[in-house]
Amino acid sequence: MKDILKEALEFLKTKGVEYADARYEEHQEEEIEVESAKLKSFSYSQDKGVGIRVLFDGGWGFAATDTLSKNSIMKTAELALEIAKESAKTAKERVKLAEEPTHVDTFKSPAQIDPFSISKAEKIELLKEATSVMMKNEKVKRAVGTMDFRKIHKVFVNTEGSDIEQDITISGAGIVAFAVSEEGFQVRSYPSSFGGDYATRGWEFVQEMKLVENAEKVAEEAAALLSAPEIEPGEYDIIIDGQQMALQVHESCGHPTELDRVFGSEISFAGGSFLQPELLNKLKYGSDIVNITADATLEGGLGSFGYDDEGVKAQMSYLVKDGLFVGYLMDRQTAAKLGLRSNGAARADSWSNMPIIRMTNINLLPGDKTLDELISEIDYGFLLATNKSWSIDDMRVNFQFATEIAYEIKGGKLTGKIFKNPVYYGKTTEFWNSCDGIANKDFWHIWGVPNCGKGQPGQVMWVGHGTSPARFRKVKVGVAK
Amino acid sequence: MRTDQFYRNLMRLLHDTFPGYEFLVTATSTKRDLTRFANSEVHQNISQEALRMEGVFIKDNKMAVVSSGDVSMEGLKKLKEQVDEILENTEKLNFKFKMPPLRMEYPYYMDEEEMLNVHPSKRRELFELIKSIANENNLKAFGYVANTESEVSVMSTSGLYLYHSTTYADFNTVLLNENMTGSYTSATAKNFEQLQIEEKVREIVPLAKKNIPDEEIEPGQYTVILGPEAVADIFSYFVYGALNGFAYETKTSSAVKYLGKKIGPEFLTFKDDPEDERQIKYPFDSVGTKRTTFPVIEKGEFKNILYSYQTALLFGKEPTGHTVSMLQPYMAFVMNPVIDGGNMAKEELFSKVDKGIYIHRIHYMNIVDPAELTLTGMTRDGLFIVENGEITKAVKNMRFNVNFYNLLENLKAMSKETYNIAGSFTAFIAPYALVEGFNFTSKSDH
Repeated sequence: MKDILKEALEFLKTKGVEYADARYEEHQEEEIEVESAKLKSFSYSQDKGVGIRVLFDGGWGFAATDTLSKNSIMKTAELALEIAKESAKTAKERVKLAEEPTHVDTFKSPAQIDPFSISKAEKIELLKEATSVMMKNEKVKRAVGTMDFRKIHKVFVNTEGSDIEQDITISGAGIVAFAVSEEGFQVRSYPSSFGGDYATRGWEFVQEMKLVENAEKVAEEAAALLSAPEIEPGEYDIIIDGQQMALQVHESCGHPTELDRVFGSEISFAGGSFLQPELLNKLKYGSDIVNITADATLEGGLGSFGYDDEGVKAQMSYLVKDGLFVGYLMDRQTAAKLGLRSNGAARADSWSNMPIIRMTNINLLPGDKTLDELISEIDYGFLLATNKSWSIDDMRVNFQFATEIAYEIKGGKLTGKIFKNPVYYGKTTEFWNSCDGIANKDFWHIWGVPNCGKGQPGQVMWVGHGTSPARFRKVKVGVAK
Repeated sequence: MRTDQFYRNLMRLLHDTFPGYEFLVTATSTKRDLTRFANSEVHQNISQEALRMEGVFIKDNKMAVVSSGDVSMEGLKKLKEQVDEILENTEKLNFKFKMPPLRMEYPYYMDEEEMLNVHPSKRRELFELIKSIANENNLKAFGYVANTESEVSVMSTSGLYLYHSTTYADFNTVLLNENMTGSYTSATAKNFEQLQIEEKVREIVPLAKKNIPDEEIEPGQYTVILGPEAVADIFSYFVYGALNGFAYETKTSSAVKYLGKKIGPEFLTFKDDPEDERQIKYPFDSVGTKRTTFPVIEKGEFKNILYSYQTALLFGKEPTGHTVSMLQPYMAFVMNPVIDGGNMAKEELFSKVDKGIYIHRIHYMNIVDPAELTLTGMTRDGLFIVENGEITKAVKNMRFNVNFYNLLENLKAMSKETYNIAGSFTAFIAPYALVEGFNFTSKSDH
C-alpha cells in the first residue's frame, strides 16, 4: 500500500503540486453494551481506505476512496488535484505551510494487554457482574455497562519525504445506573458519563477502573438522588471534580484555542472564538494558578499519538501559562499565518476526512492542594461531580454545565447531603479568574472524551484532558425556571 | 453509483459466505462532495466515496452485529471470523429475533441526472454567487455547498430485498458584517436549483447588516418569535430526547408523562413525512420497514413515539420505520421531519408582537434534565428586538433554559409558511413560531 501511495505522490509532483500527502487507515472496533445483566448488543466494525490531500497554486483539494486498487488510488489522486485546481481559481493568496522536518518513523500506543486478545465472553461477563450489582438496588430499574475498543493502523507519506506508520489502541468502558420513581428518574455514572472513560491503552485500563467494586456506590447515589432536593439558585463557592473539569477545559479552553475557529473556518457550524490574535500574550485568561497545556505526548492519553495527520511530531505546548493566554492549537497552515511552527493538532477521524485542527490532550496542570484542603476553605458551597450536560455559545464565552450530583460543603467539610440536577454557569474568563485552588498531582487523571464533534462534513474525534478537582469562588449555581 | 446489480451480487456473496446463518443487512454507498468557505474564500474542497455494510447475523437466536467497509471476499471472510467469535461467546437473546417478511419491490430510483458526477466547478460557481452577494453588501461569506449521491439496499435471508438511489444538494451560509456578527441561512433539496441559494442568501442580507448589537437585554421571560432554524433545532431535541421507544418502555423518557396527552395547540402538527415534496425521501428504514407519513404530534396531541425494529421485537410492539443504523439497533429517529404550517401568515404572526424578541438561530443545545426535557442553548446569528411587529434592533446573545412541554403550552401561533432548512441532524421543514414566557437565563458578550 505504501508503495502505491508514494507512486500517487510522485504522479502529483509531475503535475506541479506545491504539496501533497496520502494517508491509509485501517480501523477495527468492538462495542459491547450490557443492560441489566443481559447482553444488549455486541458489535464489530472494520473499515479501511485512503485519503489524498493536494495543494495546487494556493488551492486545496482532498479526495478519499475505499476502493484500494492501484488504479482507484491513482484516480483519487487525480480527483484531489482536479478539486485543488478549482479551489485555486478562487484563491486570493498562496498558502504557506509552516516548516516541519521530514520524519521517517513509527509509533505505537502503550497498550500492555491487547484488548482484542481478551475473550469476548470475559468482557461481557465483567459488564454483567457490574450491572448485576447495580440492579440489586431496588430503585435502580436500568443498569447499563459499555465497553469500546479500537485499533487504528495509519500510514502517512507526503511530498516532503515524511514516511510514518502508527498503531493506536483505544480502550474505554463505563457503567450507568438509572433509578426510577413515579416522579421521574435520576442517573449516576462511573467513572465518567456518556460511555465512561477512554485512553490509548489496553485492557489493563479497563481492569484498573474496578467497575464491579464501584457499582454499588453508583447505584446507591442514583437511588438517593430521587428524593434529593435541588440547590436554591445563587452564587456559591464550588469545587468541580476532575471528570467535570475535563468538560470545562474542553469547552472553554480547548475549543476557543483552535486557530481555525479563530480564523473563521467554523463560523457557519461549530462557531468562532473570542480568543483573537490581538489577545495573545495579553489576555488574563485565568488566575495565576491556571496553567493549561496541549500535550499529545502524555502516555496513554486519549489525545496522544506519535504524529498528527499532516506529519507533525507530537509535542507539548502551553495554551495558558500562569493565567496568561499564550498559545493556540495549530496546523501547518494556520501556524504559518502567525509566523509560528505547528504544534501538531491537525487530526482526521478517518481516512475519508481531511485533517482539521482538533484537541490533543488539553490539560489543567495540577496545583498544590489536597481535595480535603480545597474543601476545608469553603464555608458553604458544593462539590459538583460527573457531567450531565454541556452548552457554550458560538464564541465560547457563556457556558452552562449540569452535573449528575452535588455534595454539600458546610464549615469546610462535606456534610453527606446531596442535591439533584445541579447546574452552574458563567463566562469563560470571569470563571477561570475565580479559580483559587487546584488539587495536586495525586488527584490528577487524564480523562478520555471520545465524542468531540466538529467540521463539515462532521468528524468525531477522541481527545484527552488531564485534570484534577479545582475550586472556584462565587459561581452562579442553579437557574430560574 | 454502483447500481442495483452490485447489491444483488453482494447479497449472493453474503449467502455464499454465511451459509446456515440468518442475516439482515443494509449496504449503503455514499459519494459526498463539499466545498467549504470562510472569509469569502474556499478553505476546504473535498470528495469522499465510501461503501458501508451493516448487519445482524443470527444463529440459534444468538446475534452478532457487524459492520464493514470492505465487502471483498477477503473482507467478508474476516468479518465471518468475528461473527463466529461473537456467536460463540454470547448467550441467546431474551426475545425471539424475527426476520422481516419476504418483500421485494422495484428499485426506487430517485436520483436526478444533473446531480450525478457533479464537477467541482459547479460548487465553485455557487460559492462565487454567494460571495458576489456578500461583496455587493460589504459582507463576508462563510459556509459550504455540497452534493451527495447515495444508494441504500436492504437484504435478508428471509427474502427481503430493497434498493433506492437518491441525490441531493445542501448548503449553509453565514453573512458577517464588519462587527463579525450577521445572519444565517441553509437548505437541503433534491437539486441545486431547488436550494434557491440566491433567494435565500439575499433574504438574510438585511438581517446580517442590522445585526450590530450594542445593547443587551436582562434575563427573564419574554415573548419571542422563533425563526424556522430555531424551531427545527428545538424539535430535533424533542426527537432525540423524548421519542425513543426503548427509553419510553424502560421509563427513562419524558414521554412517559406526556404520550397520549394534549401538549400543544390545535394548529401544531409534527410528523415524519417521507411524502413531503421538499424532503429527501427515505422510502424504507435501515431494516427495510416501509416508511409512510407518521404523526408524532397531531393537532396538539402527542400521538406516537418511535420503535426501532429491535426495540419493537423486544417489547412486542410494531416497528415504526425509524431504525437508523443496524449498529445502534435500539435507536430510532425521525428521518423526514415536517412541522405543518400553522394558524396565521408570517406577517400576521409578527404583527401580534408589540414588544418581543426574534431568535434567528440556536447554538449548542443540550438536555439539562432528561426526565422533564429541560433544554438549554444559546442564541446565535441574530437576536433582535421586535417592536410593533417589526424587527428594530439587534441585541447581544442570550442563554435560555426552557422546558419543551412548557414551551408548547405557551405556543401562541405558527406561520402558515414553512421553510426548508438543512437542520442540525437532518433536513427539516419548519415554520416561524410565536411563544410567550420564553426563559432567558444569562447573557453573553457578543
